[in-house]
Amino acid sequence: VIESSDPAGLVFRIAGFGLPGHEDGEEPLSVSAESCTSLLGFISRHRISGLAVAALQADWLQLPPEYERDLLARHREAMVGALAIERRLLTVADAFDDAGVQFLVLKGPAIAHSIYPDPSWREFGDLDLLVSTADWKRSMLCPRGPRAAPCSAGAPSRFRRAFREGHRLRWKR
Amino acid sequence: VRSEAVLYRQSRSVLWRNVGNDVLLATPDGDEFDQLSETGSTVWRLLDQPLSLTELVSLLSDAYGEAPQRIASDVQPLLTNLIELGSIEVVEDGR
Repeated sequence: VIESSDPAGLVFRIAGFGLPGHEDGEEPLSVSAESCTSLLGFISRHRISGLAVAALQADWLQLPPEYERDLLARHREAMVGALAIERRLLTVADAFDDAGVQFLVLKGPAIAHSIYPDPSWREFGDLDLLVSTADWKRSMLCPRGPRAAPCSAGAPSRFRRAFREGHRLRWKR
Repeated sequence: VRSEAVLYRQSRSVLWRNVGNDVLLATPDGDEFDQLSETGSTVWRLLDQPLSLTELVSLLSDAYGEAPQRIASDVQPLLTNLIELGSIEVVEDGR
């Protein structure tokens, strides 16, 4: 186990979690409480909370318990944003299909579902769609298209967030 | 819900993410998010494939070492709730 107090350096190592060869070449990381606040700030800024949580679950990244909870809370916020964007994507996709607009989904959602072993590893904050020049005007005029409601996880007030945590069952491992 | 002629599975249209051991669910038409705690998440992940209630309870009983009756009494309300939310769908057992 490597103990580190260099949050910026740690972020690069966490960003490499899950890459081919990672299991063989990387010693587990143990992060002190003093470094955690700064580290979690870097993790949020670089949008790698999913990788950090995956590393945590693999026992490759070790944080004091209160910072584990903080990381999970940050990841939950990030995933709420990702899900809200995917919801919007479904609406826009239906609108484009109805209007006969062909499009491609780029970056965030497309990569999350095709490259990563679990889409929860990939954060994203907006929706990038590629539309042909010929369809551009039509795509902008779709009633439920991109102009109907801007789509960005960076504007949380656009989304009503209600967490129901009532599904707690009584038995545990 | 109790008939063995039906199977339960994750709704094909629901969006979801893992958050540690928990699961976040988002139905496409809603504007809310549901969070399943660890045990509820286990139920959710098992329903990646269609299962009858008996099969689901049996798998959970093995995993958690609890009596099937106790598991079933907890799982049935959860299934009902998730069906109402549109996160789980019921399909006929054609196996």
